[in-house]
Amino acid sequence: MLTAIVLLLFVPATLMEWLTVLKHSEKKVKVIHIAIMLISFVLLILYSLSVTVPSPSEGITQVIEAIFHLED
Amino acid sequence: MKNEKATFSQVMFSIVLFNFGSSVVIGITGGVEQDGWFTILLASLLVIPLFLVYGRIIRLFPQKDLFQVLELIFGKIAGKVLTVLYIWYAVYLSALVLRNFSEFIQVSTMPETPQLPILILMVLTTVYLVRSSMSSIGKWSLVMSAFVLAIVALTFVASIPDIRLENFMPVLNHTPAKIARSTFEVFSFPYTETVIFLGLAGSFQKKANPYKMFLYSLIITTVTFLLVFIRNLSLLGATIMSLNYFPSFSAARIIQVGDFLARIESSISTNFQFAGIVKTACCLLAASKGMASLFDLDHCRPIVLPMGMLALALGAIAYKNTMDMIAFLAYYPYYAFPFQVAIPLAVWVGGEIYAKKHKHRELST
Repeated sequence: MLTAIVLLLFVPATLMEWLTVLKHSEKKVKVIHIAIMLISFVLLILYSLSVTVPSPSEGITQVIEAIFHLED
Repeated sequence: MKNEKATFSQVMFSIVLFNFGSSVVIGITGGVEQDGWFTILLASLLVIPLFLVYGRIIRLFPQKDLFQVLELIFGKIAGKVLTVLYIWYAVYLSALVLRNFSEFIQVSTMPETPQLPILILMVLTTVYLVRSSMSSIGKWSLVMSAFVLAIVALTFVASIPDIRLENFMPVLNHTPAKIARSTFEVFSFPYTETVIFLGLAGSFQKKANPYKMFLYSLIITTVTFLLVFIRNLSLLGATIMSLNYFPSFSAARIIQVGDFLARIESSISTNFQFAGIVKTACCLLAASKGMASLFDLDHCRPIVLPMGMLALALGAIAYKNTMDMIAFLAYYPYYAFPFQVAIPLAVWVGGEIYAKKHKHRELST
């Protein structure tokens, strides 16, 4: 169900962007657009399939805990 | 995206709603219960010098946003590296705000709805607002501030009959270390998150006084926070307030005006949404402008939707549950400190040196 929602979001959004905003854009803009959308799409598909994706918050917490030992 | 510049009052009220945003949803003061009023006041005093630094940076480089200033002062490579850091800070902050709101909606009103559709609706609304320019965000903020602040005032007045002064006792019975830590948390979340507006400074009108923008918004925000805190503490008591994930929402459920007005927590919910949209939009716009600066693009408009999708994805994976979200608040000030304090101070010092050098050059030619 969540995967369907992700696909329902990305397919029309990407199509609309290509037909409107990106139609007359430079190649550089299109490459950046595709790259970021692809990263987001992959993350959301993994999330929708209940695959555990490492959270940036956990990484940040571990680094800060290692430096400042806040739980002591 | 229209190129309209935001006026003084538009930016000021954007900052007010930005600060009001997620901090009022999940509670402003952690760990010091009835002494929260003291930490709010102390944090608001401590942030004044930093706001003056932010204002000075905007004054030194009028009509330029932070990303252009970073390259001017530190050179192309170091400037781009710092730009990447700020893009990360802005996009992850927007992700965290989105997640705060989807958690709130799920926990308070729609427990069986998955968070992803809620996140998607918020992101699409925010992307639409961001694409309409900073001026549109400012106009939205102007109108919604009146509504939001009126609701805060009305709920405060409506709670007066139920106020129990014993909930404020004992006064200042926490250790200085605990109060200092709580002050640092309030200082960082939400006051110095205002650093995001340095990334939007290119969209402000030239005549808008940045010092007044930051300081006036600080006054309004502090008064609002104190009213919210006093309302929550007096209605819930210190223990329940500290145990509650969303104390403002819980406090509003208790408020009853006569026999005809009760269950006004939906107004609090609405307040949160209006403010949250502004906070997410400002972060998203800053991140998009950063990306445009990083890759030397003419406009940030084509990047707004992808950055919104990235914020959505990061928001979805940010935390496992509400407890993790609340626990992260203790670590957030340390993570955010370089972005909110260290780098802006370096930019200010570098900016003063740069401005002096250029003044000498102009005088000698």
